[in-house]
Amino acid sequence: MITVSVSHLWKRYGKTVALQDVSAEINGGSFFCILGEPGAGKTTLLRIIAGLEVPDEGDVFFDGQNVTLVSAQKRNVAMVFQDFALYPHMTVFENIASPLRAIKAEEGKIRERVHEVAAFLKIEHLLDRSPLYISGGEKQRVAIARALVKEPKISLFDEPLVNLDFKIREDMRAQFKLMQKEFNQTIVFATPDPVDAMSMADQVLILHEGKVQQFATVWEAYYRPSNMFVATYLGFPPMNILSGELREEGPHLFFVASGLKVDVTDLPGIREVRERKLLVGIRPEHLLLGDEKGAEISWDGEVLLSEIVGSDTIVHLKVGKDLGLRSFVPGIYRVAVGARVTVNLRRDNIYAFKESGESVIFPGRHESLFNTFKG
Amino acid sequence: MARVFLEKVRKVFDNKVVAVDGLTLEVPDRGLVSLLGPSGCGKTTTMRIIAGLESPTSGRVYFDGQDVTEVPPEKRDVAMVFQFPVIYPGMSVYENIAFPLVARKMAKEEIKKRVEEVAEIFEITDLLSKRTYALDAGMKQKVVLARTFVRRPKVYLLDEPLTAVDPKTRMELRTILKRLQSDLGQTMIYVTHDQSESLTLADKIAVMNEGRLLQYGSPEEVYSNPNNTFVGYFVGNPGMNFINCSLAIENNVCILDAQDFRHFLPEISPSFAREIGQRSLIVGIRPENVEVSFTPRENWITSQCILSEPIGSRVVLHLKVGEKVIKAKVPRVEVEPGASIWFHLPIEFLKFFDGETQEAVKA
Amino acid sequence: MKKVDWKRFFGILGLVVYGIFVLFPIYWTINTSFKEVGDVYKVPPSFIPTKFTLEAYKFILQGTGRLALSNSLVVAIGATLIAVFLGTMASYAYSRYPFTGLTNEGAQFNLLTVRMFPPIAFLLPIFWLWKTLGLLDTHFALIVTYSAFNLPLAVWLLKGFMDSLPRSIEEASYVDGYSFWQTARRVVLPLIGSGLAATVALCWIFIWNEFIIAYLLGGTDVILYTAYLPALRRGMRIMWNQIAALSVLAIIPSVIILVLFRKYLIKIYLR
Repeated sequence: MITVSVSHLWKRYGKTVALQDVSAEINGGSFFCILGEPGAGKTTLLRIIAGLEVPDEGDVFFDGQNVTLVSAQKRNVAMVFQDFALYPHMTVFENIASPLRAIKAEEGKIRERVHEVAAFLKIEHLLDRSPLYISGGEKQRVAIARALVKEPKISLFDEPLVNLDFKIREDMRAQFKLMQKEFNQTIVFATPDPVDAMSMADQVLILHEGKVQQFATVWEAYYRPSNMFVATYLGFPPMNILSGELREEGPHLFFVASGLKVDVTDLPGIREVRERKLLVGIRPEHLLLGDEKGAEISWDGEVLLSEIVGSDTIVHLKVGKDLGLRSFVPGIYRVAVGARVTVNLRRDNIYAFKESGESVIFPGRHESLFNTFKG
Repeated sequence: MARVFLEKVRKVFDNKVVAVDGLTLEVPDRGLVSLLGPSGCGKTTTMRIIAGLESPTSGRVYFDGQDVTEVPPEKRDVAMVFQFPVIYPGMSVYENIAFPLVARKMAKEEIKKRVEEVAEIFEITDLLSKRTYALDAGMKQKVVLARTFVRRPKVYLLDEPLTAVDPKTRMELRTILKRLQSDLGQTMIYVTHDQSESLTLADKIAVMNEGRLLQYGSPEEVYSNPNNTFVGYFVGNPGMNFINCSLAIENNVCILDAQDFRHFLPEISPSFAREIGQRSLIVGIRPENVEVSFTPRENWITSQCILSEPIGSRVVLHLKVGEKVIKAKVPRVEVEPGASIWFHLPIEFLKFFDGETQEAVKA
Repeated sequence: MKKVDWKRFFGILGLVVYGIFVLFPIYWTINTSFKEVGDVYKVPPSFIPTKFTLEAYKFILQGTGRLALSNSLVVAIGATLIAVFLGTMASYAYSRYPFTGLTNEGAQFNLLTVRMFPPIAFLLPIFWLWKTLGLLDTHFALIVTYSAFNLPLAVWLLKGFMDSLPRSIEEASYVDGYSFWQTARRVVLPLIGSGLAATVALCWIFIWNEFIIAYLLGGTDVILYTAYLPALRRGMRIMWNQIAALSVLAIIPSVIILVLFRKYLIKIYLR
C-alpha cells in the first residue's frame, strides 16, 4: 500500500486539453473514485497513474518518489480495463497467472496464488476455459483476478461496470468493497456513475472538462459541494434547481421563484450573500411527501408521475405555477397521477449557488449539522 | 393497437442453443408489457419473433387473433427501436422524423404538423433543423423514438432503448415514455435488463431466464410475491435475501432453523409448519423489510456488520451471522465495519421457496 | 412423391460447371506434361497421353530448369520473409502511432501509391541502379527488389490486423509487468498470427509468379523459372510438354502454402 499523489498534471491531445492542472492525493488503503462525464479526463488521469501515458506537465509520486517517467511494467500497478482486455489466446488460468509469470514466480506458487484469488471471486470452475466463451460478468471477475493476483501497490479500475448488466453491476459494487477490505488494496476507480461513487468511495475527485471541480470525501462533496456541477452530479436522482431571486421585505428575506416564496431570513450565511439572483438547489431525498411534523417549509403539489427505481420511488411533482420538482421516496410508493400531496422541506437542507455556479449556501455549512450526518 | 399473443413459442439456434423455450404470453391491447431478464435469457429473441425478424422453430404468433407467424416484418406494422440509435446520416432531424411519413406519401402539411407535435413531446423542437451527426447518443435515441412514435404502428417494440444513453437523458426519456404510453394507449413491448425500468414503465412484467417465462404479473405482484427465487433476486435493488432453512416445532411454537441462527415464528401455525416443513426450504426476505437495531433486543438475531453500502439516501448493511450474510436496507446511518447489529425478520414479509425447485411454496 | 429441390439442383449444377471451368486448365497442364512433344501437336488432342512419358520432367530436372526452380525458391523465400518481417514492424507503427511524422496518413498513402504505377515505369531506373552497382543478375538484387515491391502490400494487410487488435490488450500486458518486446512475443504476434500467415501466402504468390522483374533483373547468372519458361523452344517449335512439366513443378510450392494457410487467407476476405 502506498500513497499516490499527482501534482499539477496537464495533458493535451492535439487541440483538446484532457487534463488541466489536476492535483490530488490518494491515501494508501482508500477507495478513491474519479467521477466525471465521458470525456472529462478520467481515463487519461488513470493512464498517467498507470504509466501508460506521460503528462505534458506535472508529476506523479508513489510514496514521495517521482515516477512520472517510469514505465508501466516497472510501476507494479494493476489495471482493470473497460473492455476487460483479457488475452483471448490464453486460458483463464494463464490470464490470471500472467503477472506472476512476468516476475518469473515458481510454478507451485503461481498455482496456489491463482487458485486463492479465483476462489475469492468464485471463478475456479472457469480456470480451464477460454475467455472468449464466458459471460461479461465472468470476464469482469477474471480481469479483477488478474489485477489482484500480484498484490499490486495500487489497482486502477477504468469504468469496469459500464459494459455489464444492471443486476451484475449491483452485485459487483458490494464485491469491490469487500475485496478492497479483504486484500487491503488501494483502489482508484474511474466512473461516470454517481451511484458508484456514493456507494463505494472514501474519497472522490470530480472532473469536468479536464478540470478538478472538487476533491473531498464523498459526504463532504455531497453536503458541501464546491459548485452547482458537483451538487447536481453527485446525487441520484439529480438535484432540483430553482432559478429565482432574493427579495427583502422589511426585516424579512425571501427567496422567490416561479410563484414560490420561501422565508430564508434565518438561513445561516444568507446575509453574507451579495448577489440578488440565485439558483436554489433541493435534493430530491430532502423533499418529503405527506404530513410531516415540524416541517419548516410546506408546499402543495400535484403528482405528474411516480417512477420506481430499484426498490425506491421518484415522484415527479408540479408545485406552484409550473415548477417541476422531483422527490425521492424510499420504498415502492404508488400514487395516482394527478393526486395532490404536501411537499415538505427542512430549511437547513437548502443549497444555493451564484449564477456562476459557485456554492454559497449548503447544509454542510452548519458545522453541527455536518457532524450529525457523520453519525 | 393490437393484442399480441404468443403460443408455445420455441426457438432453437443451430439445432442446439435453445433461446426461447415454450413461451406463452398474452400482451393486452393498449398494454405496456416489459420483458425483463439478464443477458441471454431470450428476451431479445422473443421480441425479434414478434417483429418477424426471426421465425419460431415451433409455436405461433397472433396479432388480434390473426396468425401472423409467416407474415414478413414489413407487413406486420410494427415499429422497433434498438439499443443503439439507428439514424439516417446526412438528413436533418426533421427529415429523419418525417421519413416514415414521407415514405407513406402523406400530405406535406400533415407531416409538418405531426413531426412538430412529436418533437415537442420529446423536447427536441429546437433541434429539428440540425444535422444528425452532431448529436450525442442520447439525443440520437430521442430522434429515433420520435421517428417511431410519429408513425403510430400497431405494436411498438423497444429493445433496451435506454441502455446506451447517458443517465440524465435516460431519466428524461423514461418520464416521456411513461407519459406517452398513458396518453396514446398503444401496445408496447419493452425489453430490458434493468428491473427499475420495468417496474416504472410496465403494466405487466414478464420475467424471463434461460428462455423460460418465470413470472408474468403486475409490478406489485412481481415485486412482493415472486413465485421463484430468481424473480426475487432479479427484481428489487438489491434483490431478496435467501436463506436455506427448515421449520421446526418446539413447545408448539414454530422455529425457523437456518443452522447459523434460529428465529421464532409464533405467528405460523404448527400445522402449516408441519405441512411445509418436511422438505428443505429457502426463506426469502427483501432487504428493505429486514428490521435492525443497534442495541440488543430479545429474540432478535445478533450479527456483525461487514460492509455498509450507501445507495441514495439509504444504506445497505451486509450482516454476517455464522456463514450467512443478510442484507438490510435502512435509512442512512454511519456504521463501523465489525459493529454488532441485531436484526429481525418480520413474518409478514417472509416468502418460502422449495429448496429443490426454487418455486414459491403457497400457503 | 418426393419434391425435387430445384434450387439445390441448379446450385449444384452451377458449382459443377464452375469446377470444370477452374480445374480443366490444370488438368490439361498435367496431361500435357506427360506427353511426348509430337503428341502435344496432334489434332484432335487426346485427353490422356497416347504414350505416357517422364521425358519432359527429366529434361527440366536435369538442366537449367532445376537451377531456375531453386533460384526461384531462394529468391521467393528470402523476399517474402523480408517483406513480412519489415511489414510487421511498419504496420505496427502505422497502426499505433498514426499521427507522428513518418507514420502519418500522408505517409501511409504514399506507401500505397507505389503499387499504383505500372512496374515497368520504374523498373528501367532500377535496372540501371543495379547495373551501376554491379549487382545485376544476383540473388541479392532480386530479393531486395521483390521485398521492396511487396512491402506496401504486407504493410497494408497487416495494418488491418493490427488495427483490430485492441490497444488495451497490449497495455494490460505492460501493466502485468512485461516489456515492449515481451509483449510483442506473448500477445501481439500470437494474436495476429492468422494475419501473418495470410500475408505470407499472398506475398509468396505475387513473388513466385512474377515475370517482368525476373526477366529484367535476372536472366543469365540467376535465372528464375518464370524467365526460363519462354526459353523452352527448339527453333520455331515450342516445347509445350516441357513448359507444362515446369509449370506443374512450379505449382507445387504454392499449393503447399495455400493448403497450409487456406483458412487464414479467407480471413482477409471476411474482414
